[in-house]
Amino acid sequence: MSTYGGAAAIYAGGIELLPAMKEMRPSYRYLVDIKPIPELNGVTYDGRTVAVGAAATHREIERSAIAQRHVPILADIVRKVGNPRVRTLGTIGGNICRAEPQSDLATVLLSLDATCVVTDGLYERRLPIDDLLTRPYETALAPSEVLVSVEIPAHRRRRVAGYAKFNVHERTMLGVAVVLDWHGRDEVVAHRITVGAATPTPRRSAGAEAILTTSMTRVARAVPKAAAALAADAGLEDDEFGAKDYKEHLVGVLLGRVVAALTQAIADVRPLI
Amino acid sequence: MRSTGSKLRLDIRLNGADMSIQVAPSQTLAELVREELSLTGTKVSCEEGICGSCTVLVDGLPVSACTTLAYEARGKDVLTIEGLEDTAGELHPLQRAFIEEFAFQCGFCTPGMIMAAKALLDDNPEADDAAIISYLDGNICRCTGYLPITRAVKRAQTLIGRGT
Repeated sequence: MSTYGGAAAIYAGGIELLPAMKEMRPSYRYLVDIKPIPELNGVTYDGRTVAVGAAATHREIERSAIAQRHVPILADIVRKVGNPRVRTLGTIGGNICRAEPQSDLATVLLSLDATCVVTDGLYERRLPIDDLLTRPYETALAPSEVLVSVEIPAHRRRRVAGYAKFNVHERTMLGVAVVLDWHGRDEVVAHRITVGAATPTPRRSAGAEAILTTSMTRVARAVPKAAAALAADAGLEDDEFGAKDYKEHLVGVLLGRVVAALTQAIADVRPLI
Repeated sequence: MRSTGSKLRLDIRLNGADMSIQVAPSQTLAELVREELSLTGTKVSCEEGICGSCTVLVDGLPVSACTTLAYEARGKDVLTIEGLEDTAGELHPLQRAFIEEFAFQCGFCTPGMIMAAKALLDDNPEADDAAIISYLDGNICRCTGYLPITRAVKRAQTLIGRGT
């Protein structure tokens, strides 16, 4: 990349790059295929963290026993990316680096505290995913840098994660991701709550997390207040996909659905632990 | 796509036959099979990987040939609709099931539908209605409607199960 500069593009799955190049916007003389680089492949687990190579395909992640066991929501969300053809070739790194605002994966990865490992061949940097995703279709990657892997803390016991979204045509219009921990008989800690697609990049809401950190018996009733905090932190706006107040309503509906599913999941497993 | 640079040599297995072929680095798999090899069963419509009419299988997995570089098929096994019939010229059970259920009108989406359905049934022979609908979600038909297509995949499961 440092040799060819702007004449070259990093190429992995080609899902977004090749259709764009057909339209000659942009046009590159060289494509640098990063898939053969061993460090960029595979899904590994070191006892604390799941590391997903940037060139790992959605299909590989969906079928990875490590992902299914240690970050089940990741295996679940990549199973729904695009269509089967996209999942055959499309990579997690391409999905992230495209910085498409409608990426479900980005919203979920932010809720999972994902860290992006990037390198220019000499120096390695580690960026939280919200630092990597700067604006729609833009990342903090320097022209000579490449995403190597995405590191996700493995779920500990007593952690559940969920995601709900609303689509307009083929694209997600608004998505909400929730990661909940629980303790003892009745305590719920909202670890991360994020919203995406309706925002330029996924947003986290500390306010919503504080409100949903409560007891199992109160968590459902806390949803409307948490949804208001989440919508405020998201900074929703009117656009061609929907009015601001409509999106605020959707935040409440989707947050309610995820929280209901997660509290049910906790109720189902808690007696067994 | 615009061709730049020198040609690449690809060794591929196409519909069961090993071949060595020169391609431009920018050539798509759809251009290779349709224009170089005259296998026009693979259709091209949206040109951006959404409609599914160009679905072919690479090492058994579905890809959009219109937005997959031929380069990606190097050393791999590529299967197009032309490779489905057996050596005696008998149609594949999926092809027969599509005829028997009348699961097409204009037929333009059919090769892609059948290739996608083959990838599904090879992976999950017992796929139920929900799994079939979910898997074929990325293949668009604009005339027959999807019910006969779903029925055809189910009929193919029966035909394959009977070994006929």
